[in-house]
Amino acid sequence: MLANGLNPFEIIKLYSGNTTFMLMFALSLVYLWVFEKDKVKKAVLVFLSLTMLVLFVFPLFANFFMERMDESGTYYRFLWLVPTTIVSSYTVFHILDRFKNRFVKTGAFLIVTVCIMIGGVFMYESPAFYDAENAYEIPQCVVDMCDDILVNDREYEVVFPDEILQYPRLYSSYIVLPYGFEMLQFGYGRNDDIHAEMVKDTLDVPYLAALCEGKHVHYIVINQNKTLNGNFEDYNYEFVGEYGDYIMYKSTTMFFGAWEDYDEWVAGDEQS
Amino acid sequence: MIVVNILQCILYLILIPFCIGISFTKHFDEKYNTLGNILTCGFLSELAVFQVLFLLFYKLDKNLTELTWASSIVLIVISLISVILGFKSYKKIKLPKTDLGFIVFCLFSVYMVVMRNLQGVNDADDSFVIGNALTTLTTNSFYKIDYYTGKLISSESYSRHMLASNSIFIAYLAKVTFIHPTILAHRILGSFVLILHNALIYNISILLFDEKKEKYRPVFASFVSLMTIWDFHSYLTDSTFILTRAWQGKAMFCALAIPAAIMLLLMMGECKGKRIVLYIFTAVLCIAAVSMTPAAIVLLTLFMFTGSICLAFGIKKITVTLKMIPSLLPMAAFGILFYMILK
Repeated sequence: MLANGLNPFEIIKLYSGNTTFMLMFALSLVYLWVFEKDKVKKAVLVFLSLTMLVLFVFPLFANFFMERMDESGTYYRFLWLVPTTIVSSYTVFHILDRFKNRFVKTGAFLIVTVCIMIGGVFMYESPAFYDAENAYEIPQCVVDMCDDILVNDREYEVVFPDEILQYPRLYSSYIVLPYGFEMLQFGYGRNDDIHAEMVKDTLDVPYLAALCEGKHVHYIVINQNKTLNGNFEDYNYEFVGEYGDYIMYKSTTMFFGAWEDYDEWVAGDEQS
Repeated sequence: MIVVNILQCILYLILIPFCIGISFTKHFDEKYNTLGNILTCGFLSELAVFQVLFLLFYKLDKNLTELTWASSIVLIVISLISVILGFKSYKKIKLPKTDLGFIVFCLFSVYMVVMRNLQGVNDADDSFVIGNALTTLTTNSFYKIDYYTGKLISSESYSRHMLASNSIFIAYLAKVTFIHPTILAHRILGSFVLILHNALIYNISILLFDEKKEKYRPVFASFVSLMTIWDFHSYLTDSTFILTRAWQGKAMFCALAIPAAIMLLLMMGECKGKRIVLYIFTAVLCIAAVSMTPAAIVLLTLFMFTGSICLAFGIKKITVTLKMIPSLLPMAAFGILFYMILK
């Protein structure tokens, strides 16, 4: 999602990055406008693309979408309607077709291909990608944690650090969270007191443990980089294990068994 | 169990789309009756049927099991009718010429699929798309439990997603194939959408290059793939969405709906015979596109309507635009529905 207050030209700049492909697309439109003889192709590839671009930057239209429909963060999606790769590729072959000599044609094609690879940005080097560790394509440490948490077919309330907050509920919906990824994405419940404590560099363990116990949190997962101001073991949470960069603690006072054993557990608890 | 998983995947992602797709492509010119076109038309129709059924079942407060039975029965019946009716007018499926260019294009497609499976993606929207699919599958209910936290839904924050059945479709596929929704989305649906996207690009190449320039078709399709792979200019580009999160509705919109719309517009311009099937398919595409993302209500309507005006202007036939209007009526219905939901 983009920040509010950007004008369409700024959005195009952000969308097209180093602008190589956008420049190629603009030149392709000019070329096809002049040299394309087929009316259908010209209408769909040139006129339609141009109309979409003009509409995108047209102030009244942009204003209507961004302000009235409250879509300023996603207005860039309008640019998906401009078929840049198809138009640019078609233009390359339209130009190549003009060369009669086969060697010249092949040479020109290779030069364009190299230019694309130099001017473009390789997708699979994107920081969004990481090597998949399992069939779920979620970090293995999260899978291991969830496997250890889910001792029975029932829900368990767990607090996770922000950086892995999105993964547990992709593995099992029996993992229940006091706050979810929507808080990071949309800011819902930003005043959640557990989250406010979890994002600090130094965690106030007595306070965090008390908050978690108050909200019936069965497990707390902490990033090892955090400094702990106390021991969870002193506040009704015990160490379970290390999972990569994370440590997991488990409540010593809550019920972990299957729901059919709950009454028995309560009776035993009252006796003790 | 794995054999059942594979057979169910073949049934719901290949056989049913193939059978439904044939009912559209048999009316196309013979050169467009390709395997890629059949599967794409069929899969988009499958999405459209599911979208209509989901909205109906949601309104009737039914659960996922009931929706699964109904959808499977309806899809199989439509497939059978399509095969029976299409049998008489069976047209030979046009297979591409297997030359070096086509092999290179296939290698690009394989590369995309392999990379999709080797690399995970750190994408936040999964917590909604797959989180919702998994929650729906586990609770057997629609939008009762907050997919982000697992608590009872207390806000209306979900309502803007409600119209798009993408994540419920993943839950449905997971239920019928017995595959975990996360594996199904990341591995199977992601790869499948990439293959269909490439098939659509190849179909567009057939429309852009006639028989005399046939040799350019696979090279053009490979070149588009190359540009897609080197188009990581920002996180916002359509190529980034297609390659990083093909299973999500927005990415499916970029990968399938927009190329299909371009293909339809080119076919409407070039088709000499009956165009009515193209307009019917436009209506199907509209419903399928809304199942991917509610933004399609505005984006695809604008694209198809403007496209028809450009086409009418180019080939000097106003009927193209006039015939397009009824095809876009489903979008008007969805627009009203969306307005009512948000209100």
